[in-house]
Amino acid sequence: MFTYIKKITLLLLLGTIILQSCEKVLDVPLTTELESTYFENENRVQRGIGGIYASIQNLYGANLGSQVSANGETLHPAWLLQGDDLTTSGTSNGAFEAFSGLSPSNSRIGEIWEKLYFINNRANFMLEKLEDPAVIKVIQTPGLKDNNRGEALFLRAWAKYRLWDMFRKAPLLNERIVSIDKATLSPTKNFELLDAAIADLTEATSLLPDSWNQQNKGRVFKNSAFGLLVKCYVLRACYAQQYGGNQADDYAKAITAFQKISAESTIDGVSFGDNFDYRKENNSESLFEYQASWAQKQDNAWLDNNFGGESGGMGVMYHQFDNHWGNYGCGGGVIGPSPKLIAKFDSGDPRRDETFKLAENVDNVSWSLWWLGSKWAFFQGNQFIKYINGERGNAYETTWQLQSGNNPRLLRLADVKLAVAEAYLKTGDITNATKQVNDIRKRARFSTPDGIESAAPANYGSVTIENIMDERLFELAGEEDFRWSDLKRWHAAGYINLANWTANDFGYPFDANLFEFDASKHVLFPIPTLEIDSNPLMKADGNNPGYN
Amino acid sequence: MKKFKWWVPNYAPNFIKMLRIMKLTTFLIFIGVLSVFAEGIYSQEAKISVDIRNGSLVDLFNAIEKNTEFKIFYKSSLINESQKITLEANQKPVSDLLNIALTGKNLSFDLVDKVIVITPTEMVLQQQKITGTVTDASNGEPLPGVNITIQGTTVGTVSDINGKYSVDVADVNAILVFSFVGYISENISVNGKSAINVSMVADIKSLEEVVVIGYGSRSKRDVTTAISTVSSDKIAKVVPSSPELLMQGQMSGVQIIGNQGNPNARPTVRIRGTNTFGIADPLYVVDGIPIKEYGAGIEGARDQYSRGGINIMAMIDPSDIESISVLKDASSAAIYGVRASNGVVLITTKKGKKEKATVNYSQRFGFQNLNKKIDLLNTQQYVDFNNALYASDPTSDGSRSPLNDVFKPTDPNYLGNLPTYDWQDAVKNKNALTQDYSVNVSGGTEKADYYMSFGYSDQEGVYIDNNMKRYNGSIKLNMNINKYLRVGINYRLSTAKGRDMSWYIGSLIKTAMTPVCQPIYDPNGINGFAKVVNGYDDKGIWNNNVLYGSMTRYNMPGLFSQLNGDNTSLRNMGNAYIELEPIQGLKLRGTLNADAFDNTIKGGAQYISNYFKYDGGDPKARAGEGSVGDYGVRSTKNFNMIGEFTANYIKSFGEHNIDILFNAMAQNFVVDYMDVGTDYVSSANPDLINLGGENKYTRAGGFRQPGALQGFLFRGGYNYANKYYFDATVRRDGSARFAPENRWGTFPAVSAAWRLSEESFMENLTWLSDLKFRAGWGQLGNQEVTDLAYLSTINTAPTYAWGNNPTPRTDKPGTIGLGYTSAAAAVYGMANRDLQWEKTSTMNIGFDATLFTGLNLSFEYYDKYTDGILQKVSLPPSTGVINMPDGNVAKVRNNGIELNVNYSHSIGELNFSLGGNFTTVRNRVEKLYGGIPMWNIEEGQSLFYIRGYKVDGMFQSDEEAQEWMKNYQDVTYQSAKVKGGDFYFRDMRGAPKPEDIEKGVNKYYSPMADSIVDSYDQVYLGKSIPGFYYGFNINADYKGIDFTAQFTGVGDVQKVNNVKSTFGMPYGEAMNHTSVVLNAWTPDNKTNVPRMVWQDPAGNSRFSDYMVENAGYLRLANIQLGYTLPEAVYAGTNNILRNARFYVGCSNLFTITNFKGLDPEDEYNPAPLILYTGLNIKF
Repeated sequence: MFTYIKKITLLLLLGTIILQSCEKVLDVPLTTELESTYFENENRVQRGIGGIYASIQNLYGANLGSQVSANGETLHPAWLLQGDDLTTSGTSNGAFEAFSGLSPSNSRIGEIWEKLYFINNRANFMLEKLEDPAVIKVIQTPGLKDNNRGEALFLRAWAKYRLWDMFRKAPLLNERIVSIDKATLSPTKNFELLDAAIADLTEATSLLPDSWNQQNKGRVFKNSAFGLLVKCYVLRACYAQQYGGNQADDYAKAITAFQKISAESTIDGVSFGDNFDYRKENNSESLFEYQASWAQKQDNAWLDNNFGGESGGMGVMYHQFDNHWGNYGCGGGVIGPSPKLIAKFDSGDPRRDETFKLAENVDNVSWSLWWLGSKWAFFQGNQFIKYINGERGNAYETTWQLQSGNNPRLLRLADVKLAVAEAYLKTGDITNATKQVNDIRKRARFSTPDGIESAAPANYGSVTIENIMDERLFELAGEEDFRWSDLKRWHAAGYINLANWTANDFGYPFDANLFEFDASKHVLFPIPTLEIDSNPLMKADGNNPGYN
Repeated sequence: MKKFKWWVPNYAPNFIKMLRIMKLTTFLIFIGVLSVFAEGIYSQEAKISVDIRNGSLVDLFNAIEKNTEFKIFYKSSLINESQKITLEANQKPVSDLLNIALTGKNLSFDLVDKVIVITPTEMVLQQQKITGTVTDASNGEPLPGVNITIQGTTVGTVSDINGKYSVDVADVNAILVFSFVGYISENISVNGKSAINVSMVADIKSLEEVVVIGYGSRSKRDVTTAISTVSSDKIAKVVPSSPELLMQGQMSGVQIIGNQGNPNARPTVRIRGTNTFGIADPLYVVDGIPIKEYGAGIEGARDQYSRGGINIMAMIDPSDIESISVLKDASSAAIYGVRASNGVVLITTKKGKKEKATVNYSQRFGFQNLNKKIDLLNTQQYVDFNNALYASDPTSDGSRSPLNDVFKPTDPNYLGNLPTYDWQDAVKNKNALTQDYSVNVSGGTEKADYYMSFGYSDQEGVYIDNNMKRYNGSIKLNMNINKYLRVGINYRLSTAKGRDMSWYIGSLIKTAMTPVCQPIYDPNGINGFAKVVNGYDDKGIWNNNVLYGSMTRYNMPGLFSQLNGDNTSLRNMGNAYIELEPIQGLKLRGTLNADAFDNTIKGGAQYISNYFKYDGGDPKARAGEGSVGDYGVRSTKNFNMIGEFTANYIKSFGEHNIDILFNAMAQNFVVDYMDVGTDYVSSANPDLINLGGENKYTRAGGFRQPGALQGFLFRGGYNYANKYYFDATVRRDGSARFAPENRWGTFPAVSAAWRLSEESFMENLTWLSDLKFRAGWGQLGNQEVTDLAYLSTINTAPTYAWGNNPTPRTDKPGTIGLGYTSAAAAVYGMANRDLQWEKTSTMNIGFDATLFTGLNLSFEYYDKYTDGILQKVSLPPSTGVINMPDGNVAKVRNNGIELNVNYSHSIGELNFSLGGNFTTVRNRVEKLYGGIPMWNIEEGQSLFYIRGYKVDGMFQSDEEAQEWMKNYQDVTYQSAKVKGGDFYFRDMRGAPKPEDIEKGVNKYYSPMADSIVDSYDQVYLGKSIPGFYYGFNINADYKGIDFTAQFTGVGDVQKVNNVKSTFGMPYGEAMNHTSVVLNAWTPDNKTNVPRMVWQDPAGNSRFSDYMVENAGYLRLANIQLGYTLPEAVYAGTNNILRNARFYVGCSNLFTITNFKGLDPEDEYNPAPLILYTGLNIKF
């Protein structure tokens, strides 16, 4: 009996030892850094800020897809083709070029939506971290914490501004969502999202630095925020009637913001073509660019920036404008100047040669595929060449030559000046309105290859809204998302009536019967299926008018 | 004294001599032939040589037992050891020797079969003779070898080969006791009778098979839970391309999908339906080692590369498997609560038995063939079809790809004059050889038992460049040190090497997309294969214009000739235990298990292979001057260490039997993954290719992922008189996958059984031998959730650039302006600290019955309810979350019945059995995150249902189309181009109505038609989880010839006919088609195939029920004919050879189905036809 007791004691002892080792067995070492401990020094905080900038690539890469998996398309056709400045030789982008079959399930629209919210969310994350005393403590450089907050606010505002412009009632994501129970956001109404962007920008203007040093060029600065603010107010003014705004007030605020842009930003000394040249990035006209680069080992266009490591994309797609095989990401067909743009452009305007060119000798790419010589006939033999003109087109990474390190210019002073010209004009200050337009035209005259002033475009005595609208076409044709945004807001403001526009007015070169633009519907993108199907509040609210 | 008739073949000695001089291999071949002659030889006679001088009878008995298979029974008091004998004999029959030795000692002997009974002579002399016949009650057959003794004495006899016996009794009131192993003993009073015939009833208790239940085994009749088993004898009769298929059709409740001829493939195993939309694979436990492998869990959904191509089951030699038990319900699987919710597959390997050393050798040869083919248009038809397609729409010419000018007869590269090539044939590996060899040695004594095996397997897949070679070995040793202490070790090593390009080929469907005019071979091409792009022109400039139209595909055989790539795996798996039995019945066991599994994938391509790719770039453009290819190595090292302590106490007190088990285990797991590669390889010789090259072209990456599990188990079993059973299990598990406060889950299970047939009131029901009701309930856990999902981790993958860097990165243009790059920090996911175990509750009720002795029946109803399914929640993209978070959000229910019927019977020497199993599954998603449907996962529907449009009809004229479009709008239509011969689709639903949403009903669609055909009209078209599946088999043997046929089938299931959807729709520029398209609708030929028109403006080819078919099938999975050599042959070899069986068979001989695609089980991997032959020999 005694031995039994001994044995049972031994057993109990053994059991206790096993039980005690419990928690230790399950406490496996972590092999990933945690949010709670990562931001232990200033450099790491900057990397967090860098993450917001990095996510912009996911809008401009060659082969994008949902989340981090590429499905092989570039998003450009979605915002380049709807306006009147560009058209395409292909047939697969009818949804954007001819507004035919534009539906909530369009994958490009879904991706734009998703990627803008990625940027927004990443900004929210850093804004939250910058409130954390432990994080604030590690930022040693004076003022840097404020600068960082300003950057996050600016980038978030940019995402909101674009969401509002394209989708209108997109939900407002002003706080990071940390629980799946609180992940359903209600759609916004009227100016709600745009006003949130304006609020962010207003705050950012007081936080951002006047400029950055050489190592940090390309980060947003004070003038970036004022510049975007100008655009947001002008945009708001145009929709005043539709959403019950005060147009005069918005224009006045646009002018005020414009006047705060410091002299460091100027178009003087910047040739028009410099705005599309990888050798002239972040120049004095520049307010905001995506800082395109190459991934360290191989810029793999089939992976987006989120894939990261040494091969996630950092570069930008421009092959939609040429006959490189990588153009398949565009869906088939080259994007080129519309007959309208070609016809309207004064042949003496030096900007014309920087915008499109007869296609002879432009084929400097050896891997041409199927869009052979004859196909250039679509654009009367012209190729759209901003970003890829001559030597400018040589910033492709070397392995696949798919993505370029040439920065897309997301906001430049010329754009802001023309926007504020509208504000001046509509608030009765024709002198200042005319000055802004003439500044642009003067710079254009000096943008010849040899720098000798050309005759055209001549200065205006005084400008009309039509002059400004045309000037924006010549100055900004084919740049990211500008033209269609302009046409929509002028339509809303009553400066033009898109409902009366013909296929021809849209620069649509094909059979006009195939052109299906409906002004009551197509001034907005549909809310993507991806959102509708996963967000009951959005579902309940229904899609944008005309879509289901 | 009784004499037995001996029949000794007179040629036998010569025969043996002849055999002895033969070489073993020749022997093996000849034995099959000679066995024809050997039929009918009785082997009872055996001759021995003895030389006993001054010995005892016992010495003689020992000599006989030692040299023959005879067993001698005698009462020791009968033998006078002091009575010395001297006997010298050379090769004399045993009977002669015994006659000589027993003479004059008042002893005689009886000999029946292999039993010799020594009886005292004088008793026989005095007594009355009783004779009779002993028969088997179940079939009336005579029973030889039955012991017949007179109760209270040692006197007795045994029945002879005809069941006859004769015994002399002194007392007329004596009682005869008839006993035989496996039968219930009968006591019969003589009562003066001189003839007593006895019919003996089989004792089910002793015939019952033993079932492995995890941490022990139990007699099948005592099992209270749902367990299916397949044993080694069944395993030996299937020649699977993957070991999982050993279970196919053999068990109720177990569905195996993926009968394909790829040795590197992994079939899908589903036990009682699909519990979850996460990982629904069962847990594998090999000899007590729960298998954990990176890539098999949730991480595998995204990362199959790290797992490698070689199936874990393929690493185990089927010849080593003693049994496979599948624990199907919670009550049985609860002991593996961790990850057991999808069921547990327990694989037990063979161990040595207490017998003399035995050698088993087996070999198999087989040929696999993929006998399926998609019947495509030939070159001329193909070109004509494409031209007709363009001609169908005048606008086509402006938009057609210039690459397709090759269809124009006027084009210099016109395709129409080319021959027709069979690409499907080109990627098939005809008569793919599979061969397996294995040998094992086993044996044991009271003190120790051992088992060793070695196996080699070489299998080719049904596609080219697909193979696997495996070497494996194992050793198992158990030793009884003394009465209290036992130790054992079990070690298994396997190494495999395979090449698997089948993922490149994809399927016959993908291959058949290659234009039939695209040549395969070219004597002047690289490695004899035809290129698909122009390649370098005479100026040396690369041009990758494709040669055969825009659908030009890769030349796979050509490409493979330029690819390196193999998977190598090494698995070391084993355990060692020490077991202490301090008091009888209490066993304390400590076990250490280890499983180390390394998988390496090496791959690379020579850049010159770009000639075989339609999208191949300039081979010289990659990685600079001098590099001819790339090369990469991915390596995954899994290491698993499991420590276990088990205490088990088994005790019977009268009719009370208890069995108590306690187990504590801790499992540590770590995976190390490495991926290195280079774009710079300077030689095309694969042996010279190594990592390295120029630094700037190399890359390296990797990760490490540790994990841990811990569990405590208590199991108590009690039964009273084998009549009332009660079992209870509680398992407490911890997983490192969850936050510390949510780590532990408790999983209880109870089950009970009542053996009705043991009750006294059932005794009179002679037709019912056994009846047991059983019921059980329990809960199980599933932890398969993204690693660290409960923590918010920082992802440093994104990269950003800032600054104006004036220095170009290299001497290339374009490198100014790249800035200074840094790795960013971002959060991709959303931590969910509330994550918990996903829990599956199972209820089970059923009965097992044996009727008329030979008919076994079991039936059960099961209901499985999975709650808190660990699901990736599809948050709205407006949350900005990249990696969707995990949550315990959904609920799924599976229920159904299982039925098993087995019947065995013998008629004369013909033994046969019929068996069948039938399982139904009703699968329902009961709850989803926010109720939000996820495409084909929707509340109230079967998981992963098939969703699409329903064809409502076909316009028979253009007017009819116009008329329809007045009433309906189809958002897919290009209205101006919709004509007769186009489908119209059924309008069934519409967008949800705001008032309904407010009321909370029909939130995702309105069930009312809205005259608009759009995505809301994509509805349920069928289910992908079969409503039922079944298997049945026929086994028979007659005089050494055995026959097996195994059928398997599924029903109540639908599938997309991909051949039809891919090749049967008359659209698709430059695509080839089946001849169906030649019968497309025209105004003059109104068929039900939609009209041919360029670019399908009516969207006829959108996914609809036109492409969905019933996919139920019945397949003859296996048919086999075997022959076992008769006893005489073994006697003829002096029993050196103890058993030999030869067989031939065929797998997947035919499939009966209404499904018109390639294969109703898996269209992309149709079941191959396998012909095989094999041999098992025992020494």
